[in-house]
Amino acid sequence: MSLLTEKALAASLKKLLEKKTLNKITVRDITDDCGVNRQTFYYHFHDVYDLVEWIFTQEAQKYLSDGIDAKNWREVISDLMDGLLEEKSFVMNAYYSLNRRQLEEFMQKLARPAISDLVRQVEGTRIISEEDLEFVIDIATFSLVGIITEWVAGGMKPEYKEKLDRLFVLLDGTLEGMLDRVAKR
Amino acid sequence: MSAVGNEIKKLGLMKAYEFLDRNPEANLPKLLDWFDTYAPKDVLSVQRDVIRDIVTRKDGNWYNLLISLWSDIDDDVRKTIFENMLINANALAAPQANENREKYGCNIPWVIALNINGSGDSRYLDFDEWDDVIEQAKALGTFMFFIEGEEPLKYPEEIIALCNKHYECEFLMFTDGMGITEEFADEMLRVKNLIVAVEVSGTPEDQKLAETAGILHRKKLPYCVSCTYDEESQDRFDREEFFDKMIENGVKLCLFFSAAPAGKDRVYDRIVEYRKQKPIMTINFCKDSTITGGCVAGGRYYCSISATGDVEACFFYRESDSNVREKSLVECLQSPLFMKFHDKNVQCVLNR
Repeated sequence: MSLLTEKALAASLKKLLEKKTLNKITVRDITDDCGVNRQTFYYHFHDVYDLVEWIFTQEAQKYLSDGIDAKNWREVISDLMDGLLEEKSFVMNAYYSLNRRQLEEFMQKLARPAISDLVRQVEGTRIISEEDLEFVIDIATFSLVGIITEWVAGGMKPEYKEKLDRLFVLLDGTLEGMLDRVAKR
Repeated sequence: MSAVGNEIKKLGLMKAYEFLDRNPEANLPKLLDWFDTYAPKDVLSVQRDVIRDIVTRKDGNWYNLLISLWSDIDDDVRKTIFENMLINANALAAPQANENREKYGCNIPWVIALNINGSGDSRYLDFDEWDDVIEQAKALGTFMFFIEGEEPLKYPEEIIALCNKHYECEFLMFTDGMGITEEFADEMLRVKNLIVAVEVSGTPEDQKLAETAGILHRKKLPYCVSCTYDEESQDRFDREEFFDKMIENGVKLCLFFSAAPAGKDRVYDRIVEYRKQKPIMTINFCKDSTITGGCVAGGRYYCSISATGDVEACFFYRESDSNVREKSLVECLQSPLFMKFHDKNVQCVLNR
C-alpha cells in the first residue's frame, strides 16, 4: 500500500500544528489544507486523534521495524529519541493537547510489541510461565515509556544523551536478572 | 445516565464479553448464573429464560447457531458487533432515546435507513449531509443504521467513510452483492461495523449469493440475506430447500419484508416453524408484530430517509412531509405524518 493520502493528511496536520494547538484543529482545516474532502479523511481515520496515533505508529515503525535485540537495543532507543526530537513541535503539541495518560497509552501500544520481542529473545532456554513473562514485558515497557514521557514533559531537552547513557548502564543486565528470578530453571 | 456512569456500565459489560469470549461454551452458563445472583428476577426475565434454554440444550438449533458465531466470525468483528449493537445501540441508547421521546414528544427510532445514491449530483445527499444526519441521530439515541439505495455498493468509499467515522454505530447494508470484492471485504474487516444483507430472490439467480458468501465466509465476516415478497411471489421462499440453502451458505440472519396479507402469508408460517428447528435467525419486519409490539414504522423502531433527504415512515409507504435539508431530524420526527404513528397504533398499510 502506498499510503499517499495518509501521508499527505499527516503532512497537513503537522503544518497546521506549527500555528495552532491540536485541540483547535478541525478535520475541515486539515482537508482544506490538503485539498481533499472530508469523506477522504474519514475513509482513513476516525478523527484527528486517530491521525495523530497513526503518525506516532509510523514514526515508531521506522525505528522498530528492523527489530530490536539484545545487542542493538541501546541504538534503537537512542535513534527513536532522536527521531522524536526531529518532530519536536508535533510531539510537544500532542503532549499538551492529549494529557499524559493518553500519551503514555500511545507509547505503550507502540513500544510493547518490540519489547516483547526483545524479552522473548533474552528468555533463551529459561522455562518461564507466560504470566511471568508478560509481567516482565510490562515492567520493561513501563520503564522505557516512563523515561521518554518524563523527557517529553520536561520540554524534550536535547542534552538527554548523557542521562540515557546512565540509564543504559543501570539497565544493562537487569532484563536477564529479572528473567532469572522468575525462571523455573 | 451521566457519561461517567455510562463508561462504567460499558466497562462492566465488555468485561463480561471478554470472559465469554475466552471460552463461550463453558462460560456462557457461568455468566447466566452470575447474572441471576446479581440482577433482580424481573429484569429481562423472558430473555434470560430463552437464553438459559438455548445453552442447556446442546443439540438444539439455537445452540449450534450461537457457537457458530465463534467459529465463523472474526474475533474483532464479533466484539464490535457486541459492543455496537448490544451495548451502544441498546443498553446505553435505550435510556437516552427514552429521555428524548419524553423531551420532544415524538418517536425516536432504533434504526434509520439511509438511501445512499452517491455524491456529485446535488439532488442527492452527500457524505457531509449524511454525516450530519447521523450525528443528529446519535444525539437522540439512534446508533443503528441501514444503508439502502438503488445499489449502495456503487459508492464504496462513501460507505466505508461513514462507517469509519461513526465507529460506535452498527451499519447493515442492503445490496445485490455483485460489488462485494476481496478489497471491499478487507475494508469491512478494517472498519468492523458494517454487515451486508444480500438481497435474494429465491430463484436460480441466487447463484451469485454463493460467490459473495464465499468471499465473506473466507474473511470470517458475518452476512445476512434479505427477501422481499408478496402474495404472488411467496412460492419462491415457501420451500424448505430455500432455508437449507441459506444455512449451507453460512447465513446467520435472514430478513423478510412481506407484502403478503396476514393469514395468507405461507412463508411466515414456515419461519415460525423453523425457528424451533433450524440454526438460522429470522426476522420478519412486517409480521413479527407480536414480538415488536405492533407496526415498527413511523419512527417507532424504524424510519427511512430517501436519497434526496425526504424522511419516510416505512419502505412500503413512501409518503413524506419533511426533508432533512429543511429541518432538523427531530423536527422531521415531530412532523404530522410521524406524529400519527406516535399518537395511535397505525394499521399497517398492507392490511388496509
